[in-house]
Amino acid sequence: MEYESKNTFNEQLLKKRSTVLKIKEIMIKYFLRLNAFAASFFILLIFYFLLRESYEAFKVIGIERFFWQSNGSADASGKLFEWYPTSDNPRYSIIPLLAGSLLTAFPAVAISTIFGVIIGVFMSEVISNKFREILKPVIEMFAGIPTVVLGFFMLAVGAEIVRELFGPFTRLNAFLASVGLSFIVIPIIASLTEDALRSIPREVRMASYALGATRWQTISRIVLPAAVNGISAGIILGFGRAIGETMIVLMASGNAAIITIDIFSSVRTITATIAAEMGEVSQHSAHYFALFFIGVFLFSATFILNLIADIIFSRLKKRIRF
Amino acid sequence: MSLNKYRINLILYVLLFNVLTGCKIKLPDKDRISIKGSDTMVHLSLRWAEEYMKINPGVSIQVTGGGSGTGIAALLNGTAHIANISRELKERELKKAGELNIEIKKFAVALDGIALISHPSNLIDTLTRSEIRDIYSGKITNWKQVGGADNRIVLYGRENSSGTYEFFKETILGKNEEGFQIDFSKFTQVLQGTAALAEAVAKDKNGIGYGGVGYFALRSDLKVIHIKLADSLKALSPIVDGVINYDIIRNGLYPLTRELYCYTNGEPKKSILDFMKFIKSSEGQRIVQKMEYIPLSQVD
Repeated sequence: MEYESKNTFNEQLLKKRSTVLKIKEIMIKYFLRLNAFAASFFILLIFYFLLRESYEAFKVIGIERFFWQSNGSADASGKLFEWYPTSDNPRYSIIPLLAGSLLTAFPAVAISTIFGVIIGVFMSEVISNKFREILKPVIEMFAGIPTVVLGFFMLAVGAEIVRELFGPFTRLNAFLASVGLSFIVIPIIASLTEDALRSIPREVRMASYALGATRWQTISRIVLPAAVNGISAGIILGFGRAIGETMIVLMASGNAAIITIDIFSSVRTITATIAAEMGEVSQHSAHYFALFFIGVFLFSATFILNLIADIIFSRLKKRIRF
Repeated sequence: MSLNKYRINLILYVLLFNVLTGCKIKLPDKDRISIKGSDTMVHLSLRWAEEYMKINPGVSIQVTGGGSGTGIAALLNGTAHIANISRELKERELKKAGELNIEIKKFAVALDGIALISHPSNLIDTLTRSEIRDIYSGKITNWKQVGGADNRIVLYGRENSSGTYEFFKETILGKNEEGFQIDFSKFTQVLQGTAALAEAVAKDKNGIGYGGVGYFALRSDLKVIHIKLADSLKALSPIVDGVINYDIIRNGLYPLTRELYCYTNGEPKKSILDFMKFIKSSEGQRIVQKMEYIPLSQVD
């Protein structure tokens, strides 16, 4: 009798405990689900907001004026590619800003590709695991430096160094900005190159050695070509980062909206323009919509770049077994 | 089981509802003054606020910059009580206020002079107004053309949100034959703030820039250029040997002079009005002078 009651008591306790656990689990489940839904909901809202405002932009300004102003008289072709949103005769051409963005992003990616791939090869093929465990976090730490700090560094220190070395006419220029950008793009390319190289099976290298290839021959003719997709995906991601970066270019590029291919000239990028002008612009003015248009343009560009990189990555995963 | 689920859903919804409504509760509006606007006036406003809060501990004043345009936008959408404006309001801003049925009130609080600066090694001491216009609109590109060394001119300017930008554009660049405001040369490098601009010009021997007199008065690594309105007139500089020349700014002889304003949304409430009175008092105007701006009238 006594035993029985004790037993039921224990059972009850157990039951109680399990219900508490269950409730806990259900609550966690719901909490996570709520978060996931909220996140996707907000992303949808952002999409909607961007699309709505850019639709307004087309209505207010018209698509042609986002590229050129045709009633200008100064230019030989009768078209003005200028960014003067607050002028009496406002011009909203995205062309000089796009040129500026490209003129900072391309050199940055070129510099970063060279250094990034070298670092990636070094980490994957040359050094020991132990050393890599130290080197990799150090490289990745560069990507974590607040970009405003990098921008300030380029403005205060980098500008003087670049002037000493190259003697550019303008102190703040596209080259200075791209050097600043390289600090954040190199880690991306280096780390993705390393991943791509390490996903090449060991057998491939062994086969190469067995055929009498040296280490350098193996790296340059076997492993690197095999990993080229992964590396190019890394470069595309790096390009997306470079073109979307704001603070460094805002501080180091000089922000003159000129169409040029002179890398030592001052340029104005899309991101810097949005950052500098969005704060003051009166809502729903033509200037506001123009900023939205260039924002949507930038967003689409980086979205497509990321998509391409993603597609390459997923193909890579399918194909990697030799 | 289903009961449990239902209960938990209920709890979650109640929680969510509480969170959402919780956001709506407004903080008590107890003598809190928020000021936003012209970057030129940020330091001045901060000093006023500091001194005023020392005398009136019950008031809390918060000052942020961002440019005159930002300030008036904040005033109109209700996120600031006072907008610091360092230029005349634009038509579209007045129209916006009209649309929102807001009657804005203007208080002149101080004067400011804009100085034209170059590198100390520059050979040029004096420029006429038309020379400055041609330099900044891109017609003159070499210092040689105005009598200096054979070097290209590097233009430095401010963001188009800045009151200094607008003021300089209006007073120096002026209008073209078609009645349009002349734009700055597209080669003008745009810097964030007068301090950054002063730094850039100090490091660039071919540079030229402009900004509030207060920023440059004590800097020996910059040269303040004299401005001549016409060939027959005397060249004037707002700063002589590191001392601001108050008279020519206050009597309007120096062409690059402007009034600084505080705007409020309608007739201000008492706490804001008291602050305005403090600014206009000799105490407040003494702060203006101390901060290297120009007091509305002579203070001792």
